[in-house]
Amino acid sequence: MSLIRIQDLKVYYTGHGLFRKQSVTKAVDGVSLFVNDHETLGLVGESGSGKSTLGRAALLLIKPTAGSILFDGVDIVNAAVHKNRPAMKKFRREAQIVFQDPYGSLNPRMKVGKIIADPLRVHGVRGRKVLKEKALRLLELVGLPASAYDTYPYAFSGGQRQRISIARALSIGPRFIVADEPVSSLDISIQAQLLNLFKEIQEKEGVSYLFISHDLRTVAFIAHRVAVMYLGRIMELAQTKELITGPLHPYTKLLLSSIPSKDRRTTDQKEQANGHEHGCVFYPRCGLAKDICMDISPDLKEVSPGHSVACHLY
Amino acid sequence: MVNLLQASNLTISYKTADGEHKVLDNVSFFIGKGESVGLVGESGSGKTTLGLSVLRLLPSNAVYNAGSIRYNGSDLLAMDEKSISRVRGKDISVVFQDPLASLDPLFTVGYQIAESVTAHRPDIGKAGLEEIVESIMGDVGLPEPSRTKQLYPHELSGGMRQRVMIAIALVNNPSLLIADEPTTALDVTIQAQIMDLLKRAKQEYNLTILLITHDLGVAFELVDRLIIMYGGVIVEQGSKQEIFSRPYHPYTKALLMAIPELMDIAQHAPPRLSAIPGSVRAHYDDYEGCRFYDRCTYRTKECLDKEPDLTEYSPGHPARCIHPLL
Repeated sequence: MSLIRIQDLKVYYTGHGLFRKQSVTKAVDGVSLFVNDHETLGLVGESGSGKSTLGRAALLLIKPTAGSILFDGVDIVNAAVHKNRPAMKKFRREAQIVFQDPYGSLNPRMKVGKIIADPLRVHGVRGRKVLKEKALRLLELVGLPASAYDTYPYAFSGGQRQRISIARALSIGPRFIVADEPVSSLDISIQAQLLNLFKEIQEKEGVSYLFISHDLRTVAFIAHRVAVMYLGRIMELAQTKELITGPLHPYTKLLLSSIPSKDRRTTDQKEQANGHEHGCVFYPRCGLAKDICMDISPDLKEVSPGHSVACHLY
Repeated sequence: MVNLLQASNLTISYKTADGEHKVLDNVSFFIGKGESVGLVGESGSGKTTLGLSVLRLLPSNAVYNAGSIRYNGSDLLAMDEKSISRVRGKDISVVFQDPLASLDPLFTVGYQIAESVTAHRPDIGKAGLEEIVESIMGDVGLPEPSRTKQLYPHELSGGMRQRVMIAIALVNNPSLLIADEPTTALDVTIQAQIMDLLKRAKQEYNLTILLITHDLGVAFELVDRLIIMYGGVIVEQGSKQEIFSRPYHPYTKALLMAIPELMDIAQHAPPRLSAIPGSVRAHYDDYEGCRFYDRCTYRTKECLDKEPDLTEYSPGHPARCIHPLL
């Protein structure tokens, strides 16, 4: 059974112009996906694709406009609405997040030991000795010295801060972690260290990740399966190797051919345009669009086992 | 090849609350006319300081301790303010990373491109100016120049803004373009467009380019030669083929290993990426020996005796290491 299953999730933002007509931005528009136990699902997309909104909505940090989220078989959107406290408490304990910005996400006035142990305290773990022991074990797990326990965040580099964030997320033994661009702000040599750490932790602790990134190389390394998102919708979803070696969707192909490398040829692409009112959201940029693409938005359909694509060409 | 730019023994520090720290230590390099050179390094390597020092665009707490930067024979560091302003935007132009921060939100993009022209040619007529602006906008791939020039920066996408920046940089036909992480803030599909534009501009404008980047993949596409920096010094330089096929310095090699090709990852699914342990120091002021020592897998105690010299292990391909990977 999947650990988390998102069904037809929608997050719409309404803009209130003083003199303008109300406008609706469909940040996430009918997304369905699941993540299995011990699995990493990579979520790639460019800025504005809605990947971060989807990640936060999956944790109910943003209220979904519509759709359901089943976590361990329990509909948590429903649980939140009906103030089902035991179900929500279990969800909050088992689902955590690591943010992109290691400078904005750690309280500068709290010592690292307290930052890491705080979630434990919130969830009712008591006893100074117990908390300290747990915090020290977590520091070791993420590769930080025990001396970090009594230090403030300012003393640490970006990479080390991300290790602190990871320790905090792991402290209450979650089963599911949303990692929202956790290595994007780091230098390449440090990125590799952190990505290895994410993998190591999954092997040791058996957590599942929804790993959000704009970088296909990062996702290719860390994820078992990859979902490609564009303007609020999933364009393609497949096993990592299959998606990269045999992409189907024209947008996935464009993404892959844009990665700088010694083999890259000049890309042939249309200018970026905003979403399309009715048909396929990628229609204005697509070089292979047919008439039907202008009017009817394609559904995500499985074209071979485990490989889905939302495109009228298939 | 004639050297268009030649920096010799450049040493620059920043004054901070806890004293003066060197960010560039005795750096020498050249760029030949028509050549494109990539300046590659991670944060703290001094690559941006080096790039901006050429046009004396460093913040006011920067101190030029020693060295010279010669452009076409004249020393840019010895020039008075008036002379250096004549070089800026005319002979040497810059494109920065963040186009939104570099453009003035209160003026139309057309006005800002025109400003760059009139700064160097104040007597140009209105009609001529309009023509120059629209023609450069067309060249950099901005659609409908006559309409787009009336737009404000916030009305354009990130990629379009960077095209405006490139138009401003190219409008006076400079001979040297310094591009400081020009695509880092952009999405990968837009990055590809801007890279293609820079490649085309290099041909059509016969540009010499100094590309500052942390991304070896981006550098590979555009440049002929690479300069690798670490901790304020040049650790290796050479043609890009040489650097990619046989790096001498353990840092360069580690950097190349840290970014495997996408297809290799997809096909071989490596259990771990090859990472560089540790991190760079904030400064190396009272430090002797090799700056990469802490993080190097090939280190010996001799590495700490003194800073290794930049030694030419093959023609045009020096490295700062006493245990080069030959």
